[in-house]
Amino acid sequence: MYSQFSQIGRDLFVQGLNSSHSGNMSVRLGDRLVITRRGSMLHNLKESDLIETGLESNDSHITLASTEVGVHRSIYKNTSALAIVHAHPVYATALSLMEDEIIPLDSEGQYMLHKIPVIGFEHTVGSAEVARVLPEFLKEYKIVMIRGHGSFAVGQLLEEAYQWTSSLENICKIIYLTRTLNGNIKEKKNKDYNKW
Amino acid sequence: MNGWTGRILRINLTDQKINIEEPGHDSYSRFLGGRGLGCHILWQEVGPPTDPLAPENKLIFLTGPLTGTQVPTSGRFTVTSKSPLTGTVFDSNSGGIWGVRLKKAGYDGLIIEGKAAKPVYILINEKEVVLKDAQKLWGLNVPDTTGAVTGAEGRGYSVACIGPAGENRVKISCIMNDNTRALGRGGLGAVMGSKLLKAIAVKGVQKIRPADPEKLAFILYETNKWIKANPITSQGLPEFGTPVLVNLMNECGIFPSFNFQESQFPDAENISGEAVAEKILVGKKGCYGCPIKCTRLTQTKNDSGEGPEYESIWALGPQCGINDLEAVAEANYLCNRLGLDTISVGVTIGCAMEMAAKKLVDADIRFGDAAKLSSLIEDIAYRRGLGQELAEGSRAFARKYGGQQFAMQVKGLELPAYDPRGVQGMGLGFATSNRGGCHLRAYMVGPEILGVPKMVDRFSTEGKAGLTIFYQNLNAAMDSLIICRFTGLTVSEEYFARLLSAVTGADFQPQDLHTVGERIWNLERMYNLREGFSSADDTLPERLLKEPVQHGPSKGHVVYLDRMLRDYYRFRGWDVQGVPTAKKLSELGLEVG
Amino acid sequence: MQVELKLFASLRKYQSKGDRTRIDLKETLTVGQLLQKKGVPLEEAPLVLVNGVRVDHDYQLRDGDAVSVFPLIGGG
Repeated sequence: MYSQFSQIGRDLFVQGLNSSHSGNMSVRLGDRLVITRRGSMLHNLKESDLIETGLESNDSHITLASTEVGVHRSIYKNTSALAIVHAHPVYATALSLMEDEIIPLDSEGQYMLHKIPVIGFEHTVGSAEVARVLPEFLKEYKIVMIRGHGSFAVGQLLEEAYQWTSSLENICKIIYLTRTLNGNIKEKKNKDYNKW
Repeated sequence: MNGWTGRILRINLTDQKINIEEPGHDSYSRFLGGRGLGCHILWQEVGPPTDPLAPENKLIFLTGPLTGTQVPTSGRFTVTSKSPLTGTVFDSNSGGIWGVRLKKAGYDGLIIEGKAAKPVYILINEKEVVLKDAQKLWGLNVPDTTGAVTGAEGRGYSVACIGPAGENRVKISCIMNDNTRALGRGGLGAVMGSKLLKAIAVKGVQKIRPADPEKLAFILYETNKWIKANPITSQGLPEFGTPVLVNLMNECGIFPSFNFQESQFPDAENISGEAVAEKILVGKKGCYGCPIKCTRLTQTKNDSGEGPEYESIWALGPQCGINDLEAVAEANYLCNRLGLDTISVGVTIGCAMEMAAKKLVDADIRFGDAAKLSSLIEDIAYRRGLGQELAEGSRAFARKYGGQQFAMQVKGLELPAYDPRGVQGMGLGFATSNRGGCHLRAYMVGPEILGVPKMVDRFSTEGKAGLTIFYQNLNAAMDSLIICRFTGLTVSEEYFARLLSAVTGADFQPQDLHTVGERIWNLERMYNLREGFSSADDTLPERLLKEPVQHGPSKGHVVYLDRMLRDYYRFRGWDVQGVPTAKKLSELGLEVG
Repeated sequence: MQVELKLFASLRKYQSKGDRTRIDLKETLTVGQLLQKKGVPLEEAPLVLVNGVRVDHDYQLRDGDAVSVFPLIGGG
């Protein structure tokens, strides 16, 4: 378990999807979950940075777990996800401030994700509202953006959730770059993806 | 309601009464079709102490909401019954075009009950349903039966039938459709034979209209893009068929041989997908609506036919110590003609070979004896000599001669071509499968060996219970839609939910498929518990739990089942005895108590 | 240093019939470098086993290693 967390945590940072102390990850093991410690550095995780706790109820050392453990619990209880990656990808976060959904322009992004919903909340970090609403979207999408905050991605394995996160940031970089180019896009292949 | 015709035919062979019933919206939305709906009906209608081969057992043929639509690989149907081999609820599914024609004749399925006074076949088209005399067909093999029925009724008919093995109530016999497709496992052919039902011919040309054709076209476009882009479905399977796995499994040391005494086979190369392509391949074929076309058309010196598939190559080859590709292909053709499950036949013969070598059985059979294979297979189908006992399957055979530990089966169903000592999750999958030793309930080989969707450590037990449950639930839903497993190697439930929504007009989310699947899995479990099964049956042959692999990459390993099984029950919301809790059942809307 | 290289399924095309599967290496190579030397595009060869154990393309080859390489395949 540790090797998966440490590898993916490192990669998230190296790829610029998290800053030094941001983001969190978890996996579900039946009615237990393993989540990264509050304030841990995902690129430099120690074994003691992985906190195991119940899916339903708090264990004694729960104060150590990420502030967003409630959101993770709620996702696991309401979807079939077995792994979650929460990250703060820069381009995607910037774009989320301007859009209600992110529709890829590049074909890989279209293949992978079709579109990414953006949800706005008054309180974004660890709030009960996020815990309530987010799973509804993650029942249907592999990755969702919270406006001005960051991404939540789900998968059967951490690597999958990481893949969607990395893929989202790539999509957003391409959107950003094409907008700065200020020209006309020759071929608009993405017109149908709002239907996804 | 699009996606379903809403009508099921109930045919009583005893009094020849034929009725049309409407299961209703609730049953369809809770169980979808196919495997799920089949279990729902069997749960209500066939309980203990019904003998699987008595007239009281039922044979339930069902299509699913996606059957016959433009969705790729949806040309499938299932048959559900209480299995004479395992005693569990049992469903098998098959491709071809039979299911599509049934739906196009205006029916979602058939419930066959009772027993005919003399052999009959059923003829179904849009206008009529007729029982016809099959006395002249009795005794014919599968191609001859199929030919005789289409000869008499016209080529527009698709035929599902049994061969001599089913007639003789061989417990490892199958139902065949469209000549060469098999509802292979669990001895369902014997149930059909016990009812003196030789064949069911269906014809239908009604259009199946999706609720939202425009949305369907868009999701199909996305789905087909993946099927074309993924090397598994665009290269591996079309080019080599399922036998492409032979070399990989062998190199990984999870390719059992000599009745699982070894987990590699020295001559795997000779019988591999590459060898099939090089030596006997003459063409390729696909089921209805399939872009993948994994079926191999092959030819040996003396014979020709379809296959052999990966599992059949293994069962009739390495499992019996046989390395002769032509002999394996010919044994496979023979099983198809006689209506026998290739996996169970090979595993049962391999079991007998080991017991003969250990002097538990006094019979002139030995590992590697390719020349004897065909006559042994015929003996099983006609229940002659040793075949009379082999026809009961490996568990009954081994028990009779005091060598129970040599039967490589779970709950009576013979194991397929993976040594779980080198694929731990697959071991848990075999042990917990509701229909016994089956690889299709949770194909853990995907993440553990193929890296689909991502690679996990195959020797570790960590995280395996959760993944196994995930796939068991999802696959139960896929078997109810009904979609071929190979499409699932390429696209996820996200696509299936959207396809189902577009076809039916109801809103299905990916998570809904997991919920339906979990409901089906729990109902199957309740069925088996009602039949007297318990956690003691969630186990593996002693060899896999106690004898470490001797050679190769899986050397030193057994299946660490206990660790995984405890987690499995807990994660499923079952008690420590493996019984679904009242809370879990009510959460799933299963008021079955 | 000697290693054994076996290519399977669609990768067979990168190995001629008479090619020896035993290869003498004068330098230390990774699996990826060996495949490139043989003209096998790495993206077509995601599944690599060394002595039956899965490894990445950056695995350093050792004397006597048996390398089996597959494209992405499935079935069953």
